[in-house]
Amino acid sequence: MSGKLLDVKELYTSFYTHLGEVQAIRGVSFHLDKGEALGIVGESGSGKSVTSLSVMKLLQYPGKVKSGQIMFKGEDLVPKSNKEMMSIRGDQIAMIFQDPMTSLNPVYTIGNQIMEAVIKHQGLSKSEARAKAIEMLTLVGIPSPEQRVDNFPHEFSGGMRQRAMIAIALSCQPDLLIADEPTTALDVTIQAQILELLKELKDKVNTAIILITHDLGVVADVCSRIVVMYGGLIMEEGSAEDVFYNPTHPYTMGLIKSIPRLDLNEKHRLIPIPGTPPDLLNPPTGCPFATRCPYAMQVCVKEAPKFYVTNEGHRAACWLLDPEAPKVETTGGVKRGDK
Amino acid sequence: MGKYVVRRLISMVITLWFVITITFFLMHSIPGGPFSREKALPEKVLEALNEKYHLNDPLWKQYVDYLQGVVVLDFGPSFSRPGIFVWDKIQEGFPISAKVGGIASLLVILFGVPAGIISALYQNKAPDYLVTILATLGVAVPSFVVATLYIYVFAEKLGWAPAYGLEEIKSYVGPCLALAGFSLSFVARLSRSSLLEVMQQDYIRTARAKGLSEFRVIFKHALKNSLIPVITYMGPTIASILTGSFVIEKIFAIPGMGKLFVESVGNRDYTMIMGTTIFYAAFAIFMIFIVDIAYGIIDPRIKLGD
Repeated sequence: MSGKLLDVKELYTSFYTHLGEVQAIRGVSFHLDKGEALGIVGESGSGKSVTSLSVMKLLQYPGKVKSGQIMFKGEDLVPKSNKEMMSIRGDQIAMIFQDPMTSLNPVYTIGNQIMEAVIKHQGLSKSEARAKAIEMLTLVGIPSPEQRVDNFPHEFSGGMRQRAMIAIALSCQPDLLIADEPTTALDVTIQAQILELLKELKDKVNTAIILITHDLGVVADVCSRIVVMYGGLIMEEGSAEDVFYNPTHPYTMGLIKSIPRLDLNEKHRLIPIPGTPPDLLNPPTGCPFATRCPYAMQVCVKEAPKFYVTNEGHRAACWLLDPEAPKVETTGGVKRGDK
Repeated sequence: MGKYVVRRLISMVITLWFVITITFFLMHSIPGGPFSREKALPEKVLEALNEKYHLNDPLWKQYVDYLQGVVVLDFGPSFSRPGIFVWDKIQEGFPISAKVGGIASLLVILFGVPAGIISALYQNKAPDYLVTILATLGVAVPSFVVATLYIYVFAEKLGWAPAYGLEEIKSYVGPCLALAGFSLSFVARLSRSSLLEVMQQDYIRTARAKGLSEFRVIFKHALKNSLIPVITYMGPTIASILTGSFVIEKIFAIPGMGKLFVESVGNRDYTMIMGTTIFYAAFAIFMIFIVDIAYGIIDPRIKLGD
């Protein structure tokens, strides 16, 4: 296992709907070291949330992990029963979700919802659990936590609710925190605060983080490594440095071009990626991005590219990287200099 | 909370006053009166009767007199049954209706809600189909059909229970089942759909992500949230079940409130109509009040008071 906390190998997840099998994830492999922060980036429907729910084994019916391995601390989670997963969920792997407004139960106090997890996993008594809840609220920066612990979710603002969610998630000191679009539903200033908090707590609690987002700007700050997903496949994977400054996949380049930049002095246009993601009910045989790719070749539609390693830990699935591919001038990557 | 209760009590009295006023004037605006018969009464007799019951007074005076009576629970004498007072009649009929209705209400709560929960937990499996079919039948088949079938099968053919009256404990089975049938089925369907909806909520996923057992997820996190629409329906339903059903009381020959109410309308028995209507309205208003209090207990987002 060699220090790998999570090692996902050739994961296939499908939803068996009445229309047919929707192949949401089609062979995804990535890993995560202890204490590392990994960003999974992709647009809606790319399979990033399904990946995280597969790891938690919280896929809703009719979703199912079809094949593959999810090695967590050397143990495969795929064959585990729901009962076995219950002692892992919340204790060793915790998760926070996109919308803090709806992710907390409106009829129980914040304290109650934090205490629940620690009572279950750490066997604390009620009063110990309450002290723990107050401690967690302090940790995530909720003011006057002794009073706030008895508040109901509707008495918290959106940002505070996400802080409370983080408090719940980290209450049992999990080895892995999966944050599924934790800032998408929040306004920009609160977004920055929550990201700052995640970054700070990552080191304090020494937990590894998988940060799932459609916003490259969000991962840039927190994550050391980035996985770019599209159409249920990984397009590119590498260190944050590589992915931002030397993207090798046209999809990553497209994503970067569509981020607004405020730090550059020159004017520049935001360039959207035209088209829509592929239909995963009938996934394309070739590269899923081929129909939207400005550099697409005939081979791209016919056959899915394999991964080409461009340098240590940086790989991308694109035919352009094949030695036989014609050399094209690609432009992408974040412009350096002004920052 | 105390302030809220006082405010609500005041508004309840005002609501009731509206009900009294509207019923009173509607009733008097319908042509004919309590003493209109196919064979007209002699002029002199009619005159004397109208005089006796103050029906010759101007309408506003009758209204004011009536209101004064209501305040001290004096609903006047029955017009169609000489010598009988409305309040006595209500006091006689209500406990009987309430006894049958109370059992029926318990059936609704004890079987309707669990049936809905089971149905939701086994969504699209055998128990769900069974509950859904029974509940659809229960909603679709009118209570008088249930009552008649019950009498035919259990009283007439099998002889297990008496066909009428409330002499034995067994006698309660038929009326209670017939009375509860519709609401029980409706509550089952309501709890099912409400629970299914709640189970899709994000906070249920959060609860699962915490590693809670499915039992805790359902009975702690989902159930309380799913009860709100059920309670909303329950309040007025219990009020109407407790005050009796004319059809069922007629079929099983039970001398309850429902029978009293419908017969009084047929007889144009002004005081009896007023009395039973006010009683029913007051009861319904009170039950809605209870429902609102229950909301405040279940859902902290609903603030009672100030």
